[in-house]
Amino acid sequence: MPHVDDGTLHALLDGALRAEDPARADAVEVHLETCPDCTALLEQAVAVRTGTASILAALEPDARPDFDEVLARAGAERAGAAGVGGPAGGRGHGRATRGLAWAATLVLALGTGYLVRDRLGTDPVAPTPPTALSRTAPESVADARDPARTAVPDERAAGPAAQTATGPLSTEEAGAGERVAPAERRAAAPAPEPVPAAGEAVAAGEPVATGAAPARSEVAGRAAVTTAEPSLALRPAAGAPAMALEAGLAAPEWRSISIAEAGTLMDGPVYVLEGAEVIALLARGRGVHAEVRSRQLVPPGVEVEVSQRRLAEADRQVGRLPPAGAAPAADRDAEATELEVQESVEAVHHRHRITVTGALPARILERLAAGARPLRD
Amino acid sequence: MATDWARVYRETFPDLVRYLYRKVWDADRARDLAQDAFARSLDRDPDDPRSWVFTVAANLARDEARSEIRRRRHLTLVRVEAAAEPAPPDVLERLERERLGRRARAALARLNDRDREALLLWDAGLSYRQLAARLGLSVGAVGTTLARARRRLVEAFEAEEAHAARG
Repeated sequence: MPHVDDGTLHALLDGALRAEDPARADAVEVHLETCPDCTALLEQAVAVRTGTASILAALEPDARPDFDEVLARAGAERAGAAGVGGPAGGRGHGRATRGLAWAATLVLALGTGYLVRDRLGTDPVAPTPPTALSRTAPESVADARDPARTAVPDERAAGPAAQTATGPLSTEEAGAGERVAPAERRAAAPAPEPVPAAGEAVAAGEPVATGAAPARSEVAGRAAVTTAEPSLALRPAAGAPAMALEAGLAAPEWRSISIAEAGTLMDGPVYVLEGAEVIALLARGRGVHAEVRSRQLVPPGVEVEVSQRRLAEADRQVGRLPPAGAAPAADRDAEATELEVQESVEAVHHRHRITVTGALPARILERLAAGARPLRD
Repeated sequence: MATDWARVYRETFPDLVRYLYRKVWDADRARDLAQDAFARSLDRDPDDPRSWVFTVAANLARDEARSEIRRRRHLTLVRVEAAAEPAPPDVLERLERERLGRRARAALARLNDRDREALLLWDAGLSYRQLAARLGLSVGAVGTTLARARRRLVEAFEAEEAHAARG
């Protein structure tokens, strides 16, 4: 096969190549495993792609009114009223430039060659053929080779999360949760009793009923810190029972699924955190009791767990997130400076409640959760 | 079957606001235009509602740009007033965010129209096929366009950083 051009590599990383031409995607992947020149080009493409995401993330708006406003506006326009109204100027950049210091670090890192050579070249795990997940979730093909999974000169990359991300777990985990070997992949599948207390017991609503409600408010109902709760996260939180984590891997009700299946299960989009890549997708349950869990890689290389559930109709009508369970702000702030601690936050997007757990400061998780977006199939 | 606009709205609105914000640089205005785009689409039944509403929004944003000069004068006044307000507690963090945002915006402005549109539409969630239709490209050319646009954006951002470092 001839060398691969930049556009093809970007299409591969974007999942579009597999969606449009699976056979060619296979051929490109095979070629990449043996061609150092194209692997180097892939490294550049990944870095540029990640850098772009970080730059664009610095340009975020902040708004989501209720659909009723649209209906009212349409009615007004049909009645001959003015169309585009509203204030000019004003608040503007509420979330537009939200905390991207780490993104800047990431962009600056572009020239330092923090990439996937070890994974595509010397890493013995790298030649693993495309897996079930990569077949059904095109973007995960790129994710398994995302440079952010290897080494980034960010301070967080030196922490335990980054160590696990570079460990022998990564590539195979991206393949399929079903094939997980518990002892080696303690974090590849959800724990047996994953966060249901915060998720099911408390009604959550959609805090977007008012026209001016910013998306930021969606994380207002974040849950308590889950230091004692079994979690999918790579590093067990302090006090989290390791055995429970491993037992969770064998829990029969969890199954690896495709993005399309997850979307059907959720009756809506599956959410991916801002700037993150989905590296494993699992689900359990049916109907309104269904839960989708994913492991997502957040630049510059920290893995977090994202749980998604459907909001019950009654919950949505409440129109607010549950107040219970939130840790006092002072506690959260204290723990936010200690990355050994697993934080957990909640956000509501449309008809879904998203719980994000990871070894990042709560404010970072909140930002990520608030920026969660539908995952493309 | 009639388009379920409520569903399209739920699944598209944040992306649409993000897309519009990066064109008009005012969150309230972007939100307003996004609502307007939906309001103007409700009596339509397009094959690809998501792509359709982005097209309507792009047209609205283009019209919006025509009034930019007038609005800029107003924003200048607002900025002068804001400068007189007391600094918030975490002023350094806020300034850093604003600095990054300004440079990111400047970097985006350095791109040509097609590259910028490709980036914004992709980032707003449109597929390669939808991008191809919007930009008048073949699907195969979308990857090349995005690759170039991304590379230029990163280079432009780094240039902005370097320019700022030189003072």
